[in-house]
Amino acid sequence: MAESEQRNNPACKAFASEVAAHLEGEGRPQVAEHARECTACGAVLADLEAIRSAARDLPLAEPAPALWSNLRAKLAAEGAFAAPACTLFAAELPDYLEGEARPLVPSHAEQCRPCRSLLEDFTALRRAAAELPLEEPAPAVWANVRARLDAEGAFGTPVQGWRQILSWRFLQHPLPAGALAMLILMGSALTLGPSRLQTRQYGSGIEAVAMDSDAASVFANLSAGDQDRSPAFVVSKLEREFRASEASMAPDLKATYDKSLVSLDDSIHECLSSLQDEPRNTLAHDYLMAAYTRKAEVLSTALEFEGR
Amino acid sequence: MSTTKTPARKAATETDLIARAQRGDEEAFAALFEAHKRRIYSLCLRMTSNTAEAEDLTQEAFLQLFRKIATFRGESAFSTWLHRLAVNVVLMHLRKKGLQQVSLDETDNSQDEPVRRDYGSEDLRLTGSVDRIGLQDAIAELPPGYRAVFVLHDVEGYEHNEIAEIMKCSVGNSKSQLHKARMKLRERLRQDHGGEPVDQSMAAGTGIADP
Repeated sequence: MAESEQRNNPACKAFASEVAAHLEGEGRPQVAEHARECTACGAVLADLEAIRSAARDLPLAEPAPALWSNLRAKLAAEGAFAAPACTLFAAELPDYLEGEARPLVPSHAEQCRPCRSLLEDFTALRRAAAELPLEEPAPAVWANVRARLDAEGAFGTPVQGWRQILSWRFLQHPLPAGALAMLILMGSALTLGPSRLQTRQYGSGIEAVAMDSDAASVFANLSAGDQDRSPAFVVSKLEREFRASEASMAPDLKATYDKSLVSLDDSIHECLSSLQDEPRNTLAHDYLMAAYTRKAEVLSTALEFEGR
Repeated sequence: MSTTKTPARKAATETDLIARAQRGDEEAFAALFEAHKRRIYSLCLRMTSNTAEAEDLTQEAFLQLFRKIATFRGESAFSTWLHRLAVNVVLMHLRKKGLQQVSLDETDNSQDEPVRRDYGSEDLRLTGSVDRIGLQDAIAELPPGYRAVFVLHDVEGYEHNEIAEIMKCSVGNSKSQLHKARMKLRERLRQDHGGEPVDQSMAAGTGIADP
């Protein structure tokens, strides 16, 4: 039969559509029957069966030796070859170390040296971890905390009474100690009579000298050196020292101190304004002294820290 | 006359300090800082393995403490309250640095490097002692999530249920992470002791023969 006739032959067409299923063993008896009647289709079926048979008989390829080595190593790493008891030991070990009752752990450890080593190592690790020494933070940590809290006003009401002013830390710096003495003297002078105020701009801070009428004449006759002992001048001198050294200060620490100083300058300015309107306002006077004291303390702390 | 303070006297002293600090007493603040600074700083340092970060976090922890101290009612020990606050500060910082760094999700395997299972293999002891400096260095090398759980549990003494609550994971995950952390530490410390890496082909008693 010519090929063109075969393609148009209904029986051959049916054979072509069914032969694949026949080769899969799906029960197509008409395929074998047609193959016996049709020479061309019979040849096709014979060829297909021969190919299938040859494919099944193809020899197996040998993998490279490294394939097993690699596979074995990976399986061993995953613990696939561990003895069942060791696997169970590993599963129970964390709970045993937490203090839970897991009798299998100690009993297996007695018999299995590697697992006993693991238990001993974990026990040693836990003990060493619990006994690690405490570390000491740098002094700057407290300085920063204190400065921030001070700037936020966390430290209670303004200083009241000599006992809180005369703190040991404040007096460690000689300059603020001298400023304190002058503040005491000035405080006494200011209570004698009406006060006259004199304000002048100095550098980056506001400097003010509060004087009463009698003391004013005294100050008017003071030499330049004596005027240096006014509280404002002393605080101003501290501030100049602070400004001279602030370039070497850590930026965040400097910002904290600046914030504190701005707040204190605001307090000083407010007190001075009050005293200008009411020269005999003793409360404003007390707060002014306290503000100068606090500002001197902040500056001395900053200078003390910078000197470390 | 004995100068040592009994625990009851210490607690009474600290109670007084807390009360004074709540009223804004700077000296009381300073005393509380002095009493607790080392523990908080050590926690921050071990969790971050970075001195500068640890100092910043210590500062932040104490700032938050002093800002919130008025809310302390004494339901728990002050040190516990402070410590938990510091842990939260550190974890918040670590999460801001990288969302995946301290993830303890059940399905998170990002920190899972192949951890060798030494069961059934040769004796790999740490010779019974753990070098303190070596341990600190090894802790610093742990992945952040492992490090956090190990520090909280084995160094600071938190329980797994507490760690699970703090780190928002399951108790099982906390235990699993701790175990992995210990295995990595053991492996690292063995290398310090001059131990050779495990030869996987020498798993003893397994009955697996080479082809």
